Amino acid sequence: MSYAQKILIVDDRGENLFALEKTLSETRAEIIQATSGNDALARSLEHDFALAILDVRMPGMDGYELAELLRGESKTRHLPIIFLTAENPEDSEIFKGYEAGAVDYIVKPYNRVILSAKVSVFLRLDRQQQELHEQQRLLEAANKELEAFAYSVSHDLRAPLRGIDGFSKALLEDYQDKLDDTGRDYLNRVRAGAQRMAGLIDDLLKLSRLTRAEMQHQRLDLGELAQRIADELQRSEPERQVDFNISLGISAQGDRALLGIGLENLLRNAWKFTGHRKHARIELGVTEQAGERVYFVRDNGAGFDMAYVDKLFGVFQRLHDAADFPGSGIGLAIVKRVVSRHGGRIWAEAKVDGGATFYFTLPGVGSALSDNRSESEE
Amino acid sequence: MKNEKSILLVEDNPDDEALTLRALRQHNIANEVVVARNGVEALDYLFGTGPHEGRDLDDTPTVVLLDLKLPKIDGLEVLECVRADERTKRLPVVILTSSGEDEDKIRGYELGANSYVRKPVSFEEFSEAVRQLGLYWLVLNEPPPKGRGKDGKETT
Repeated sequence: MSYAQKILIVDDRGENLFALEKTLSETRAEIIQATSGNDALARSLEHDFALAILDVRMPGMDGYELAELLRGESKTRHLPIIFLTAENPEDSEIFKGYEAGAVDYIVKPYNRVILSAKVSVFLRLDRQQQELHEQQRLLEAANKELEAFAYSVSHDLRAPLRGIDGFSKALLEDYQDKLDDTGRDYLNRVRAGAQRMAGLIDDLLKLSRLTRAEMQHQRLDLGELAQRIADELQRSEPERQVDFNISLGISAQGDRALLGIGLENLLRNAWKFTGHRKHARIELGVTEQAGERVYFVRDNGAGFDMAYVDKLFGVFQRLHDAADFPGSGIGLAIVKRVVSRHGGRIWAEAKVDGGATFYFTLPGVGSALSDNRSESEE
Repeated sequence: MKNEKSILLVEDNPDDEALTLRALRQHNIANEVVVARNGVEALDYLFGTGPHEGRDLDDTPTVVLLDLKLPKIDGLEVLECVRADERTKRLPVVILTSSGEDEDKIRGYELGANSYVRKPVSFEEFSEAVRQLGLYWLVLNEPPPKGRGKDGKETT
């Protein structure tokens, strides 16, 4: 991204403007001159300035009055202003300058090298700010697009699948005497495919909803959240014998809804992969590594081969045969999304047939400045 | 005997229309089904305008099954018009849509939808949803009395 930065210099005396422009030539910024307050205001409407350098003493509108007027305009409200003044000003005058919005105050005669260096700093700040704005704009546009995309997926992509499934079913019912076993088998496969795809679309939407959801940070107990999920899992398959070892009072900072979704997917993962164990164990705890709180979920289930660990958190990635452990491969991708939205990391250790441990951190607050925090840190 | 209770199905997708009609037939729901294929058609039918000019407006549908994504005027706009008009503001409207977006549910209920049902992809589930909707809205639910204005007084 390249654009010419512009500096507004205002002085009622031509020779001062000339000298100043010469001093600033090294900064490679475009210099726009004005010889009075009114002239400066007119220029500020025509150009976008990165910096203004105002002489304090001018006939008519002086530098302070000009600064105040510039502050009042939305276009120049945040324009950094450097005041130039002759002789030794009183402290009170310097304060007046800062109150009027000065970022710096330079006494004439000025040192050209120092002035030029100071101006360069402000130009660099301005450039960074412009880049930041540009990135923010791009990010907002991308988010909007993502939202529109998800909305359209939700509305439009499922409808054709309903047709595929519905008319296959109609064929099976209305033409059953014309179909042999192979024909029926094909149609059932068509239906299964349509329904599987509908499931995948729903999973993708879930994932994108996580990215779009607004977060509210609060202090909460992961243990309590996990216990509730564990109870639900147990109720869903009461015949299974699973030892849950969940420490209570595992405090964390984050969004309750999102963390609930993340934990549920982690525990569901552990629940699934301990499915072939007679004595299944699932543990939630917290430990400290290099001064950082690290939460973990450990199970004694099927584990996995660490050679594939890089694929573990990918969308629709699966490390086990569908026949052994069915699933779409979205669960851990969801967990990862939740953890990264809290500014955290997630990783795993496992051995084939030796269980798996998932570690994650939740630094939370710092990574989400724009999010509300309903409680302060303890 | 002609069953007076009818359904207005607002649906632009001919496949979904055929599947809905099939599901109704399978469950022996023989009530009249009027199909509107976009929002304009739906409003024309409800308010007796355009091609439906002069239609007897006392013959209101018992329930409207309303898709959201429609050509011309979308489902939420249709709902807004229906709720804004004295003649239809109490008309039972069920949103029947593919979308499971919270945004749509919130807007739908805010605008006064009586129910929100997501169309399942599996035909068994879809058919069951249609059966339950028919049973509930045509049999169990008591529709608002016809021909009465806002004070419950006769308007005719």
